[in-house]
Amino acid sequence: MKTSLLFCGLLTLAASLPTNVLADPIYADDFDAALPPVPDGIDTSLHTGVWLLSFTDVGVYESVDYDGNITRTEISATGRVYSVIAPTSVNDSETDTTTYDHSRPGALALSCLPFSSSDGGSKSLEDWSGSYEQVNYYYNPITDAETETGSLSIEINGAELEGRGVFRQHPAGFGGRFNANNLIAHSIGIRGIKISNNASVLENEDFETTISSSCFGAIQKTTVKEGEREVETVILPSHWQGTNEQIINPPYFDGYDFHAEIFSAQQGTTDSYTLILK
Amino acid sequence: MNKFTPLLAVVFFTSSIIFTGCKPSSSSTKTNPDFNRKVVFEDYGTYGRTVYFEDTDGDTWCYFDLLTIDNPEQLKLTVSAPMEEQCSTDTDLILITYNSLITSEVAGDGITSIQTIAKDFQREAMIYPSNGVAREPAPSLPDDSLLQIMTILNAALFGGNPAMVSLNLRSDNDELYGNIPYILDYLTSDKEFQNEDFMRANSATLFISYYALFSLDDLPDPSVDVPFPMAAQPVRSDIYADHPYQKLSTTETDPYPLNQIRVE
Repeated sequence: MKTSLLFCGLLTLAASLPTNVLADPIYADDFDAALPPVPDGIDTSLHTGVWLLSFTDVGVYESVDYDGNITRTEISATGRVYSVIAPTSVNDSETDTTTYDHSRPGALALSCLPFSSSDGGSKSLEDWSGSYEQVNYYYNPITDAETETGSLSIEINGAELEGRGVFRQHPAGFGGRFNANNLIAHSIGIRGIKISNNASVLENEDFETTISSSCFGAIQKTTVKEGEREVETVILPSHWQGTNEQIINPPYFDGYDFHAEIFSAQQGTTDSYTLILK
Repeated sequence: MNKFTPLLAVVFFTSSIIFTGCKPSSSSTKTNPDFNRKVVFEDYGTYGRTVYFEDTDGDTWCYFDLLTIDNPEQLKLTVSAPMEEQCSTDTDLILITYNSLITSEVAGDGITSIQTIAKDFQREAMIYPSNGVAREPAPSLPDDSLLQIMTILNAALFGGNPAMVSLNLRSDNDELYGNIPYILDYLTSDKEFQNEDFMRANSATLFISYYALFSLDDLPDPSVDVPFPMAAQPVRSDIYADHPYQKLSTTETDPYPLNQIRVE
């Protein structure tokens, strides 16, 4: 009992600490550290806006040779991303105008997460408030069968959210029957805080940034294969960091802010990715 | 160690509680018949047949349909440009081949069901010359606007969700019967976009774009009631049941010997 009281007390203490206490720069080794508290002025009545998420995503790959020997690779990604919950857009073709309904939010933009391209598509989301479950699937037009492969559940309380997802094998994560890596399954846990009421990264007066992506951030990726362990830092979305590009200044989060620099050997240029909450 | 390290430790512990149970299990995937390494079909080679259909004007069209399975990992679907009345190799023909990956094979009730996907869909076009001997690549690839449009559409609407497409093969009296997966089967992975209403509403656009692949001057009149392409056909079994595949003798210089195919 004493232990749980102490634990809860420490949690309360952590939650009540001012922002600057937790604002030391956080590098890859500490990407699983607690998020800062929700900034002042955040509208908790609407879910739309920009969210800062912390997550851990663990995936298992398998490769089988023609003799049936299986090689398993486990990839664990711990990181932080900025994600947008956008309002529903309504197009009026007669007036050629678009209006946005913030009372009907979309899903978190999570396309930059490490395994999201291997999960395939998800079923369209109905109107939601407070929580939603997004189901992934694939379809076979010959047998007219839909096969569900997993789901992500998100629950929002005020300006904080929690999420959990479990995904099984999907054609999008299939590499080949033999001698190829196939994503067999992965599981993700997410926590997040809303940091801006404006549902845009680039067109947002709350930020100083040149980033336009609705999903970006960084992870520490740990790969374990045949007893060998490799740790690397990856900027998301991963296509920002191509084969001829290397991180010259490791990505870090400073409170609500993000900093990273990538050098392109091919072009001889350095790209800076920075988001600063004003 | 700075003064906040114990606090971070607590927070890390909290994170661990939240994320406990994240480690996935692969056990559930082992029961999914769409993914396995069992090898059932081993009569490798190239098979060919003719397929006939009528357009909305009542005109008869024919095309060559070839299936190549050389290993348990991938298969090739090849179709020729359609031609009026009867299939013939008297004139040069454009062939288009689509490569798809095999994800599993399942045997049952005399049918081998091979599940396939079209990840990184590859397409190649070639001219099959009328003399049937010297194969050469098409001088320029036909317009692939449909492929581009469908790929972009699929990525935008469904997140690049690959469809799982079944190729069902049945051997009977030394003949091989099989259904006809088509490019549209692979590219529209949403059930709502595979239904007859959608195909009926969009068939003209799809047909015209599809025929543009073959650079044909004379096109069949678009119709949802014809099996070319097959995606608009709700029941295909009657069509392919009338047209068994023949196994063909291929050579390195002639991998698609159309002139061996029995013209019905």
